[in-house]
Amino acid sequence: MQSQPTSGATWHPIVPSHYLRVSDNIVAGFAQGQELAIWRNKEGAVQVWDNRCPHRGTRLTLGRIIDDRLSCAYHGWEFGANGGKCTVIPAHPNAPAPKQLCVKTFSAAEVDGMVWVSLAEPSPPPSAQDGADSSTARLFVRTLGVRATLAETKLVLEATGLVATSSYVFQGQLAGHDVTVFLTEASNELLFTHVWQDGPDEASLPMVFKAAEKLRTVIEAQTPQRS
Amino acid sequence: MEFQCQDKSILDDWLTVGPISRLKSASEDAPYQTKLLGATVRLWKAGGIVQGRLGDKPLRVLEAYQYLWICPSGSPRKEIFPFPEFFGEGRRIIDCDGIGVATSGLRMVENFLDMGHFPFVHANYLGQVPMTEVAQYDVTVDEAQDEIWATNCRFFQPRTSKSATTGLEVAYRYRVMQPMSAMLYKTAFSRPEELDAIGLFVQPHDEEHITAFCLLAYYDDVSTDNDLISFQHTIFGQDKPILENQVPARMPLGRGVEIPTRCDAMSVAYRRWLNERGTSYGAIPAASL
Repeated sequence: MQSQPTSGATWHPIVPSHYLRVSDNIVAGFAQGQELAIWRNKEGAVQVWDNRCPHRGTRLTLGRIIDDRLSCAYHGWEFGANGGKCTVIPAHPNAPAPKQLCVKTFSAAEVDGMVWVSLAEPSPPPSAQDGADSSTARLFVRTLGVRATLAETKLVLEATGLVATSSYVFQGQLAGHDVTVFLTEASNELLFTHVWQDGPDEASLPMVFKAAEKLRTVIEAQTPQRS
Repeated sequence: MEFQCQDKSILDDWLTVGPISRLKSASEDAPYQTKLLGATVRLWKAGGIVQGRLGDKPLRVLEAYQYLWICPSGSPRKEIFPFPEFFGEGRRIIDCDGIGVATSGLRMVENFLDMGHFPFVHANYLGQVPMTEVAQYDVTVDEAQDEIWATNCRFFQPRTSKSATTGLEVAYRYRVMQPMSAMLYKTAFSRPEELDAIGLFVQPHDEEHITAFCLLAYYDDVSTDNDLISFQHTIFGQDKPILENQVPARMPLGRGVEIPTRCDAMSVAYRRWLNERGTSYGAIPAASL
């Protein structure tokens, strides 16, 4: 796993890359409490934005993609790919949008089948993190939400024999099959585990999935009840 | 239990707790119970007079415009706002009851005052792309009444009511009487020289949960009550998911937190007015930012 963004914990894996179709859907993501709107422009470049329209705070995941712009569901304001600059305010079709008006955007990278975000500013350029995808063919199993902290989850993963290869990536075996698990620290109490099977054997996917579900039950059972 | 609210500007207002019809089968033993400002209030009628209690404490309650109103502090800053259209000859009074929304009452009222969202949130009802332009309108603060007005508003609407079948440019006037009460006057489809009136009365259950009640004073003599009510519920139902996805749910009143544009003149005036009267319930006050 040499190819992941390696700059400590500043890069977070957030969603599998294949969730995003070119110039089509907007996916909700989270990283350490930050809500994200994730989409892919027409060149295929992934966009990771604050999930909040600067106008009235509306979640941008309710919007839609028009050409290379994200259109907010509330007033149709349009924000361009690669920077989030407001280009259209439909209520004033004949006036240019204010120059400084932007959605907050984050640095994004795609590595190992996952979309990564850097919340830190300034963040290292994503190009510095690019690397060839690892040679193993990997099959996506499932994303599972886990009500637990990162630390609690890591303890259980390690006890299960999985090994941390970086802050948010574990490798090892589930149901006797090699797996890679990416962790998204959505908030203090919610985690997403993106489980991938290393190797091309589709027949074993259901078993790996069941094992991942069981692992979640174990993690949540060891986590103190929260109100 | 006490009202969970320290905001005197709201405690001295008249807040609705729903239509009077809620009391139909209420009694002292089995009162109508509802949540207002984080506390459960009880209401019933005794000898034709509305009784309201918070715990054992009597509440200042009044009936007006087929609705129940409570002044939480017991010392209202003014009388209940005038609503002359309610008594207007030839108008039908139709209560649309309420819809629950997980948002602040202030966000709800701001949405009600907004035309720019019509072509997007109410596509093919109150607006239609590409007729998205919000023409300039006038905003005035009526200092004597302590109300805000938006006048000379107009917007193209493909279908203004259940009885409308063709589009037309509709004239609007908006009026804010209290932070959680507003009126909208719009061209009456069946009598284009007159304005129908729609009241929005917000019951704040807490800072981020409300019921938005809607009362019509319409000239429409074609539509059935059911038509008019279902039209309003369709509209409110379209606003609900938008309102529940504004972050944060409470309205930020600090400058620059949310960026308005020219067509937001009414919203800008509303937020400024809230700041000036010191309203913080359902808001993130400017000072706290």
